[in-house]
Amino acid sequence: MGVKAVHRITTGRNGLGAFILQCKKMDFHYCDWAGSSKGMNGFIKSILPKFAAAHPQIEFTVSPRPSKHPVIIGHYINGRDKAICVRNLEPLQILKKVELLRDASGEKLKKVTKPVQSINESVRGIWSPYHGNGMRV
Amino acid sequence: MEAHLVRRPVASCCCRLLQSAASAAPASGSGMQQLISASKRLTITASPAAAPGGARFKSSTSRTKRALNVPPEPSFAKRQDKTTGIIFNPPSSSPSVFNTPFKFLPKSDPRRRANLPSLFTSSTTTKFGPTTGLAGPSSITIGNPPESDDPTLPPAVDPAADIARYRTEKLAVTPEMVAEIRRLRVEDPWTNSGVAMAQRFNVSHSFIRYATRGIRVQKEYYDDLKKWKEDKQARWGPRRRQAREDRARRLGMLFRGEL
Amino acid sequence: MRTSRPDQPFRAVRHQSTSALALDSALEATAADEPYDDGTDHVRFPPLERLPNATKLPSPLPERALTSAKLAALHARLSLPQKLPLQTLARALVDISADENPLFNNVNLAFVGQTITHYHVAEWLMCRYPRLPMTIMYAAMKAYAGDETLHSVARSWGVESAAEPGGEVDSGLLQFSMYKPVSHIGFGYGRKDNSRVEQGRWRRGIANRVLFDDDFGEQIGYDTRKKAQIPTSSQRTFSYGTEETRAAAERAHAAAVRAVVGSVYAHCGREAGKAFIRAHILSRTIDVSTLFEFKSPVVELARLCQREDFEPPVARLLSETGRLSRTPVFVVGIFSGKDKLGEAVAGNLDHARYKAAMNSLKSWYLYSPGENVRVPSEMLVEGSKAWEPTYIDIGEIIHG
Repeated sequence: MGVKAVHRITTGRNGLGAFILQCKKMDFHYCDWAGSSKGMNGFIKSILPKFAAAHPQIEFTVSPRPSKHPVIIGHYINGRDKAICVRNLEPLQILKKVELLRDASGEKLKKVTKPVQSINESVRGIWSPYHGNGMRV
Repeated sequence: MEAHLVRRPVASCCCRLLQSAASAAPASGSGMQQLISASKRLTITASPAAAPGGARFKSSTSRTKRALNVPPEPSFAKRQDKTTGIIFNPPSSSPSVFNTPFKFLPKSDPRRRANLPSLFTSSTTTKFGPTTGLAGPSSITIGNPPESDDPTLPPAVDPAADIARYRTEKLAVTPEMVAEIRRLRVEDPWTNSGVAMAQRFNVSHSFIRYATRGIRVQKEYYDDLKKWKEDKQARWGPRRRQAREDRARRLGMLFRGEL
Repeated sequence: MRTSRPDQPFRAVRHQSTSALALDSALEATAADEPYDDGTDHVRFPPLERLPNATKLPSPLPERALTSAKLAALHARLSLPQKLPLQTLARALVDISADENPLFNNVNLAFVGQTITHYHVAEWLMCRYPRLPMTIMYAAMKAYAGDETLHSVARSWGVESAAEPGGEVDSGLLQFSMYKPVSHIGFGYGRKDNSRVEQGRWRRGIANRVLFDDDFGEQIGYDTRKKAQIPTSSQRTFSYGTEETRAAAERAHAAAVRAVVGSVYAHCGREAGKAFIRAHILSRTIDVSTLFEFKSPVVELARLCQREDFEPPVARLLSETGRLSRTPVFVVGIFSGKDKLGEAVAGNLDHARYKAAMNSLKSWYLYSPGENVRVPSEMLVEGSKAWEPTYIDIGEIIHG
């Protein structure tokens, strides 16, 4: 007799205790020859150092990718990555894309229809037809 | 068509009802009356009866939506007399295990002290009567049998089982009886099974189990028992076997809280 | 762009990434004396960038921690205080299967971290659920601080692992070996003869477990799990994706998390360690009511009522529908006198009664003084309010 135990593990709730930024690495690929990479080159020279200093939790890698359009690849903690081609963009527009990558989690884009998503159970419990005053059908 | 839901008035539930148990039945009935009248008021079209009462079909989505509207709780209606008060609106859901019943709260808990009226309306926490010590096999709970209880409480699920526990007389269990039981068990385990001996000596089979503790019957008995079980199970067809396995799995799931 | 020097025939012609630049300057001093050998064929595959020398060291030198971008990113991601140096964090990522030298691996840090973690998780659980039975307490401890959970925590931190441990890997990678057998670190008393327990001849009850076993109720020094016995297979015949490799990875990740906790405690003190555990481990959630598996709840509830001098529990039918139909529903409540202890809904009367008994027992066991209970370690902080005794339960329901 006695109570036995079932083996389970806890679920993490990012942000409740500690917050872990989901973007862990960003690769910046530029090209010295291609005209589409002009904005990217400017971004790397002028804006990237300050952005990288402001985000020490992201690992930044800058490397040339010759004869290709400039691209930014964000790597996330769930193992997925997101690539954004920034051809023919100005440095400030590229900054917006970089901020987009920084703010994203690695999840695939999902259409959200409901206003609330939660793992907590409801305060008043799930409605049961066998409790309360009942309803005449 | 009414769904046939047999209801029993409950004295105290997880959410404490303010009205007494006796008036619970008519109160719910009036509630239902209100519901019916409200739904009647909502009927706009000339259809025979508004859903959910009769017609299952409405000509447009908005009409369906309108017909299936649930009227708000009457207690939320604007109060005419402007007196202050508390609206008690318990949820229509099963109580959660994280809401400890008043009886289970420890004495030091502030929720117990704050809930003093419950202390008087609930049943006494200590039994008035001969209290039993730590359970020994011969002591059986003595108290009021269920059928002589408060009639406002719902009927017991298995009165026979509960009556057996509520024996009003103590059984005369003697060391000689226990020795006899042990002797019989060793002598012929097949005839003197636990259930048979329980009937014979007018005790529970748990008591027989306690009394025969530590007895090792001959090994052949266990082998024969195993063989008897296997022979029985060999005669089952696939459906019966599956049904029994499902039953066992279902019980396992139940005890793990999955069902 | 660099031109090749005559004395360095395999100098990089062009740097493919900026990380090689820093490395280059750091290794310039050593470049002259050591031939550049990273284990690949330089004639067929001329190297584009100079990778760190393949060394015979089992783990990277502590100085390499200062030049690792991954490590610095991990340090910032966890918001670790500046008092915690990068070298310690790098050491916390070196498992015993990668490097046996206790001066360079995370064994001692992991042990300290494990002790602190288990203490804080245990005191929080005991104060929050004072009536939890010991088996469920063990399961809850394992749910919060067990290997599988900490493996999940490590992955949520973005800790990447090196394919093979060695002196040339990045310091920011978790280094462990999937096929090297490693011994468990446990703290407790071992039984004289563990085989008797396995045969079922010696009883291993709760009191015995509290005395001898570890904080999860598992035997120390005697792992009956098959996956713990990792076969000594060589690298050539090694295969990924087996139970052994998964267990090794789980253990290594869990050890890394414990080592990080230990390093926070060692460098930043007791309160910082407690805050770290609260933020990363105790902020996780589990529904404790799903950990229960009962055997005979009706009897157990009867024993409870007997012990507490309540009236004996009686199962009463609150409502029912469809008794003779295909899908009957019975709502059964367990009453002690006039008070309802618990209720449940099921398809037949017996199941409903069992479920109601289980719900009553759960509502007894899961009593909680509140979510933000005070724990004893709060008194170690200066200026804390006077300690009010927390509720201590009489104990479990004893049967038979």
